Amino acid sequence: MNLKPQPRASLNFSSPELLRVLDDLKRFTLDHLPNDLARLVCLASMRDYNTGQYHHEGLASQNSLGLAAAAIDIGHREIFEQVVLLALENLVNELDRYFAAMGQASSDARRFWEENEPYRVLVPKDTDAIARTLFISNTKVALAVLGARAAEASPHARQFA
Amino acid sequence: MMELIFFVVLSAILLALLLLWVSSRPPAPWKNLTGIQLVDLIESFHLSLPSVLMAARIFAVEDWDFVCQTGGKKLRELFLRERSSLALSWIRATQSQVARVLRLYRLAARVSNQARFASEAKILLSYSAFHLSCGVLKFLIWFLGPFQARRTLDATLALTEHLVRPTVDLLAGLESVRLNDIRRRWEQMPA
Repeated sequence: MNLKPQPRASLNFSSPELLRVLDDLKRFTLDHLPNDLARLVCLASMRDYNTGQYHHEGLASQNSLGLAAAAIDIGHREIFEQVVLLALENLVNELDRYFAAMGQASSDARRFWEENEPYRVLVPKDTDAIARTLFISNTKVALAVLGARAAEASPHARQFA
Repeated sequence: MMELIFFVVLSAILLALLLLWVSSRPPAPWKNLTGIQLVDLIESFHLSLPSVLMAARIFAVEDWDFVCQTGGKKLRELFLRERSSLALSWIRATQSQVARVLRLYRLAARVSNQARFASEAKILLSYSAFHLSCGVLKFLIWFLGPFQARRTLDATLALTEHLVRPTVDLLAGLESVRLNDIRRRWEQMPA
C-alpha cells in the first residue's frame, strides 16, 4: 500500500528526533482519545483546509514547525492505514463508539456525517486513489448500517413495524 | 450463451495451465533484500506495487457476511455496488502498475544487456495469463460480485508477483552506477 509519507529532501523520516516528536504526539494527545477513528479525526483537524499543512501548537512550541508537521503527517498516515484496513464490522463499531462519546448529540452527528460526508477530509494527502475510495466507501456503508440500526431502535419505527 | 460459457471454460483452463507452467519453478530468493528494501527499490523509480492488503479488504467475504446479517436488501445492494466498483478500480490500477513495472524491466534489461529469450518468453506468457486472469476477474465481478472471485484474485496476485519479481531481481543484481544510469533514463521517459 502506498501510504507512507512522500519523500522530502529536507526530512529524514527515521531520524531519532522525528520519532521522539511522533512519540510525544501519541503519548500526550492521541492515546487520550477513545479509538482510532477519533485519532484520525483529531489528526486531520490539525491540517489547514487550504494549504494541507499540519499545525499543532504544543508540538510546534517545543520543536521546529517542520518537524512537528512531519510527525503529525506520519501519525496521520499510520492511523489512516489502520482504519482503512478495518473489517466493516469493526469500522461500524468504531463509528458507533465515536458517536456515542458525543452523548446526546450522537444521532445528529451521525445524520450530519451521512448527509454531508465530512469524513472525506480525513484522508491524508497523496493517499493512493484505491485506499481513499475504500475508506470513503466503507464509511458510507458503515453509516448506513448505523442508520438502519437507529431506525429499527426508534420508537416511531417500532410503532409502524 | 453457449459461446460465452465455452469462452469462460476455455479461459479458465488456459489460465490454470499458464499458472501451472509459470509457477513450476520455485522463485529464487530476492538477493537478500528485505520486503521494505524491495518496496523502496521499486518506489525509487516512482512506481508502486499493487496492494495485497487492500485487495484482501476489497474482496473480503467477511464484510459481505456482516452486511447480509445486519442489513436489508437496500443495504446489501449499496454494499455490493460500492465493492464491485472498487474491485474493478483495483483491477485497472493493478494492470496499470504492472504495465509500468514491465516497462522498467524492458529498460533495465536493455541497458544492462541481460535480456534472455527464455526469461522474456516466460514474462510474455505470464503477462498474457495476467491479462486473462484480470478479464476472468472482471467477468466474475460483473456477474457474481467480488466476493465469489477469491480464487481468481489469488491467481491474479500470484501472476502479479511473477511479473514484478524479474524486474526486482534484475535491479537488485545491478551495480549502483548502472542502477543510477537506468534511473536517469527512466526519469527522462514519458510517464
